[in-house]
Amino acid sequence: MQSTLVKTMDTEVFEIPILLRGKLIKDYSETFGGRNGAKFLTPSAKKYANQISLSDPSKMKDLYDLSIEEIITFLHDLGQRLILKENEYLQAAYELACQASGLTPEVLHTTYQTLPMLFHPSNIREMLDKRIGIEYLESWVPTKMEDGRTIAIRAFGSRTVHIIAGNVPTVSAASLIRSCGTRCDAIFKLPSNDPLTATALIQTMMEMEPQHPITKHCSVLYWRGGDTHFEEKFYRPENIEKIIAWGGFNSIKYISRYLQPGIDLITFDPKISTSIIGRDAFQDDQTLYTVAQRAAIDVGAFNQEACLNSRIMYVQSGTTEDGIERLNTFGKILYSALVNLPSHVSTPPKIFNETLKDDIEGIRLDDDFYHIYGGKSNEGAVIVSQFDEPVDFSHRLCSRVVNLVPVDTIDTALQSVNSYTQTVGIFPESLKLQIRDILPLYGVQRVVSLGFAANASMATPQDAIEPLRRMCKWITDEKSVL
Amino acid sequence: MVLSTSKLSGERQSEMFQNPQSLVHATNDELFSLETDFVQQIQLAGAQKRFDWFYPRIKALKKLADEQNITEIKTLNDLAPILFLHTVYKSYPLAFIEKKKFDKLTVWLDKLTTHDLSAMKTDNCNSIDSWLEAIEKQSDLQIVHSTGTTGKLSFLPRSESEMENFKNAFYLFIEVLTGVNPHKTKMPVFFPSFADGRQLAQRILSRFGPMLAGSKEEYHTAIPGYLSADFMSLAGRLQAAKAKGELGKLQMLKALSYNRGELIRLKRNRPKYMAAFFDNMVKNYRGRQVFMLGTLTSMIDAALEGEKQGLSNVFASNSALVTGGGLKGQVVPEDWYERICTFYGVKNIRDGYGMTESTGYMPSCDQNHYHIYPHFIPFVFDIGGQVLPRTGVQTGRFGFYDLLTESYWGGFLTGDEVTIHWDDDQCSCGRTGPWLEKKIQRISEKNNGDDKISCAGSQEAYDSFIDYLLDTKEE
Repeated sequence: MQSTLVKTMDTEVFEIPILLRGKLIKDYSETFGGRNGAKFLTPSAKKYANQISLSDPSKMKDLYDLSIEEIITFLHDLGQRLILKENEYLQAAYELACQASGLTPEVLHTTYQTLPMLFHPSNIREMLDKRIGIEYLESWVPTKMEDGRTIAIRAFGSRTVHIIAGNVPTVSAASLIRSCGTRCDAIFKLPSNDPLTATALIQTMMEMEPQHPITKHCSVLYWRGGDTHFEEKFYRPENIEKIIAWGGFNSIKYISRYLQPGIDLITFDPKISTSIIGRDAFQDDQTLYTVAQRAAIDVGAFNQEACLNSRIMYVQSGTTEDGIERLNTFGKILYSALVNLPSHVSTPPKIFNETLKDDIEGIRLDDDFYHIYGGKSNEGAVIVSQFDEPVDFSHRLCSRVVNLVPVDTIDTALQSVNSYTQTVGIFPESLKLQIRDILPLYGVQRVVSLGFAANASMATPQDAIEPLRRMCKWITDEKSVL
Repeated sequence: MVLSTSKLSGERQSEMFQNPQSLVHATNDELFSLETDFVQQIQLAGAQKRFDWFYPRIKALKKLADEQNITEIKTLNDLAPILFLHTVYKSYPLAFIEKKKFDKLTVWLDKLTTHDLSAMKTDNCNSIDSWLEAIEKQSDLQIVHSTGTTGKLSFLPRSESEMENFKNAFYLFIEVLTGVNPHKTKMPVFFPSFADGRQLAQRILSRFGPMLAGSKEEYHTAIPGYLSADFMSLAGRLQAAKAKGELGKLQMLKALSYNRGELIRLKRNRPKYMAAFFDNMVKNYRGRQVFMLGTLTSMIDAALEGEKQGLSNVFASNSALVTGGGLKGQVVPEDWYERICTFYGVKNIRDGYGMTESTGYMPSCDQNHYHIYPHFIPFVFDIGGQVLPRTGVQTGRFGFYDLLTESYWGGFLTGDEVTIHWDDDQCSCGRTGPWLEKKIQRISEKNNGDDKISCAGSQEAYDSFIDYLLDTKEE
């Protein structure tokens, strides 16, 4: 395999081609600084502006010559080629991610190694069938209406742009699978903190079957978000129908300026996740250790870089002196569980956020309000509030730093979740059943058993929406009786 | 003792060894001609005395020193692990303010000052302003608060006891920048901001402004009245909530805002106040030599506003325009420097580097370098937190020990990255001692931190807060 993703050795600059409907474009002319100091070279997106989108939608017809099973097989074949130790494109992506990503090489390695699993036929079939229903993708599904008419419904793919997040490489793979599985035409805009994973996936696809319809409907490139000269020409209803955007408040707000009738925006906006631990955790030492172990995984998986990681844990220890003491004990155990997580799951970060470090050291001098376990180096920390409020810098918690907040009643914990809350990990199961009907009213989007926050599946709704269904265009054929 | 070849007599030198605070009684010429070895010995002797005095009196220092196993100061670098991070003075939980648990806030502050606050009555306070007032009524403290760029204010427990030191250090600074000795020469002072308040600029100028001017009548501020700590805090929290898109929080903050009438009055009267300020300048001080003091952003705001009224070259060209604080995040016209000089009629703007926690400032010279007075013991740390050697040119995080503090510990670790030139690389302006390059950057901004609203943008935050509360701007 001839890799074109070459690191120019002397300059530490990575080359990122544009992949345009099966065509490899390498006339590099623009240099960008990635996050954490990585630099990369790309061709000018502006130069290809009028070739990027699919202006003739009838060209999507070739996707309908393929059955969903054929698409699943194609993706499976692709998955088989995504073996890190064999695929040079993926190796280059991994190498660059080691510099550009917030994740450490060990955790990244695990993530890249598990990519082929995402492409397994049973996973893709489950996703399409559970979330959409394969019959709707394959055919016109008839329904008899009350008034006697028959309505047939079919789900068509759309022309999409994916503005993907780079905090975890899995996002690139999942976006590709979703897009191909729904017969969408997909343009991926690369994130600066993971500028090569999506490129590697599509370049592997190009090498596998350059003329395949799926390959012809996948493009990937980088441009600096905010390049209005380029974007104003590009984000038009005659070019695209759906924008699927991950990202922070400002970037989503920015994208929304291009919305107009004919363009639909599907957002995965920034979320934070929490945990609620009921008083049963303290019933005996063994339970407390188990709870700590499970809590540690929810904090430490992906090095707490993902939206599903717990950052604040509300614990029903009580707020009396005894209660706080119980929570401090739990804090100590949790800290130990956190730093002892195996390195393929979680490691200390490459760079510990300086601002967070200053926040932690600032409160360390006062034992009355917070107790801090760990955090002297970059290994992670457990901050135990000594009263029922989280730390003021809770929005900055990352790199395996979690805040335990004592509460007397679960109500206090409920008050603290809002529409920015994605996942809530709960212990015990009985408590979950008790509050799962209330949490969504406050804005919670996913409830899981404590310890399973990172166990996300492509076959579920995400962020309280059905993105796969929304990526489709739902067309009706209405047959009148007369 | 290494004898200094400087202009100091033996008696003066020994006084400096006995009492580091006497450093501010020396002249600028003397202070900037001292030899490195001599300065470092004075600093070490001073640091030893200050540590011994503060250690039993400040609980937070005792805790930190005990944790770091520091029992005495044998070398300057023994201070390094016990500098207080800039976050320490805002390490209280914001919930104490939101839930009006001001007695707890007092307990927190008590650990950071030599003053005994244990008998303070603050449980009836219902705002930050009333809490500050209650503490100041019952003690000698004169708390200074920060601009609270994220809405959380730092509270620095200064007191009357160090005001004389501050005045002397401030006068030294003014003299370096302007060539005018404020002890001898009095000039009218203009300060384009609020007259009163507990933010540093208001604290310092409401006290020393009239002294610099020679009388209250010759000291001129733009906006009469008090810059409220509560409003500053709300303004910052509003900006932070807006930046993060926390709409629920915006509603909560809006509900918190009391004194709506006062805000309306202020908004209505602001243009009138500014017009009167300029009118006074032009009618009574046109072409005269004056002091113009304030943060850089307040100077620019005032100049742009004055321009609109068709004013320029307001003062005599030998007037002294002294500022600090930098532009930070504020959006200003590209040619702001030229415009500010044209408006006020001066050739250049002089500034200094310093912070809420420092006694006085570090003045810039004609080479555009910040010179560090001997009462500051500077430290530069590498990314791992190790002190870099006191030789050559070093870039890293800036810390300092301030020998002039009385009621709070003088050691600070800032959030700024600086480049320092130690004494073996003397500045061509002729001053001895270490100096900092002009480019100073916040470490949090360098690493893409989210704390982007800077202190220089606070006036803007304040204005937009008022607009928000009054519903005059579309949200």
